[in-house]
Amino acid sequence: MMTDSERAVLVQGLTKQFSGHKVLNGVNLEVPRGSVFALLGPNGAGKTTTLKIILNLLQPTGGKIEVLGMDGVARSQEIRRRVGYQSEIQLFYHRARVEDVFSLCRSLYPRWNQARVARCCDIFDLPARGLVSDLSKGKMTLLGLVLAVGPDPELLLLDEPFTGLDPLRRRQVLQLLVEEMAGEERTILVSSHQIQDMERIADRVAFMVEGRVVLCRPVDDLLGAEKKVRAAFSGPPPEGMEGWPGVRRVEREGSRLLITVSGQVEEVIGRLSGYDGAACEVIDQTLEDIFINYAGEGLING
Amino acid sequence: MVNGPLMKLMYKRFAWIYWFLLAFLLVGWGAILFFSVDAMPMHFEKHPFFSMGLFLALIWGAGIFTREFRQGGLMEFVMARPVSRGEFFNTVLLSAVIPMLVLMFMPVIYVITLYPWFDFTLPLYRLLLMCLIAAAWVVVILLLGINIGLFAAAHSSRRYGRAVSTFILAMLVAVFINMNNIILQPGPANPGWIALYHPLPALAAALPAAGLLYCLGRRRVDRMDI
Repeated sequence: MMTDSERAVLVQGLTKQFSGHKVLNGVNLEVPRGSVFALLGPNGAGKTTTLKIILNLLQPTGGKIEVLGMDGVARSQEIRRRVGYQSEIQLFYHRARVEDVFSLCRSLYPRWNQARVARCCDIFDLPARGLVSDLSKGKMTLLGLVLAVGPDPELLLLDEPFTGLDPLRRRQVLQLLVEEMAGEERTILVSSHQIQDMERIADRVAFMVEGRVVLCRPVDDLLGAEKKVRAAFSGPPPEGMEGWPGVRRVEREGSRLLITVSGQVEEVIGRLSGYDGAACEVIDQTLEDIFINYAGEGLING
Repeated sequence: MVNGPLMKLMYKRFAWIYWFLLAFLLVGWGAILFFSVDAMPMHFEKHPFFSMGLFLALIWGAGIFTREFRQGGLMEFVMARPVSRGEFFNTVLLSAVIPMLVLMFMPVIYVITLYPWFDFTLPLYRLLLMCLIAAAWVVVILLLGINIGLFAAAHSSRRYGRAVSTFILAMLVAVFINMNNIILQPGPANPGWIALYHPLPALAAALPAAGLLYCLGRRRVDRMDI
């Protein structure tokens, strides 16, 4: 458990119901200050709902939220002064000009980094005099991102920040996030389906499935612990491997077995080598592979 | 409790309604100057400003105003910024109330600007009082429209919510047009010009109603999901 000064966000036992339908089912999260925290999960897992509750856009049904050491419900306005948020769906007045939106936001925040906003507009090719309604989907996403980084936030909440972006723009966004924002020790909590990008920038990752966090770990630890072992045997393969410690799944690949192992690779290989003519190969997994395993399996405890 | 930058934005967004009111004022001036007969005094108390205000309040309150609170409106964008729900509600409410007040006080503007050329049936202070009472009731109706709109927007079945709110609106329009005749139009069958002969009860009745509806609207906005 981190102390208040060490964590940017604390979510404990968070629940949310919409018309009797439970969307969040006891979410627990701790986001360390200065980290890039990726929230991953299949569609409908509750990622956007969690982000919106952290910002008090949605009212929690139950649970506790602390943001930057403050109560997330009672002091939400104070929190929003220090938080930048990019929504999944960009909602602006379509007849407003881009500069009008900037001007509104500049006057709402106590701090506004106009130099950064101007630089981002240059990089992303956002026309200040253009109408919001004339922007493409990708440009809308970029506008949302610029508005989120404009107030020099201590905490940046990004909900699908790569929606509609081409690879070049995606790279520019990653650069902005990693080099400028994360480099300045800001905390970034990002929900995205671009798992490869998340693997490159995130320090920690949480998987959400059906309204619960099923796994929350540093990315390096996760990639080091989650492996696959391909094993071939000259004799009959061992029985009941699913019960071995660390083994999460066993699949057949012709005469070989593909074993998904979590955390105890050495032990599993040691046990396998005790069988006649066993040949083992350890295969690294990407974050995407691990995500698909967890999301595909549905409910696995964290 | 009103947010300045947001108010400015709301003014820009709804600038068209001020242009409409200006056009209305100009057309009114033109009509009085060119088509009125000098010998006949102006009966502003008989002009249906109150009915127009009611229509505007209902349409604005239940439609345009509450659109800001629905998906696609401004609320999510603003609420993600350091603006409280109360500030947002007050700002949008004020931006809706101002054009309505302009409309309701238009008879006073006509009297002030045209008195050298025309006679009027009421002294200015009585007309001002009548407009004030009518404006207070129009604000009540606006707040009622807002509450209906928020109910329709929040209801899980959009179709049901819309059907109910349309029915309530239709009933209100019918009732208040009738009230307009009873309260504001003197005649043998009517109890009299309540707003003029009993101004304080008429005004006093509007204030608690407005207060109650304001609190209900604020409470709804404070607790709603965005």
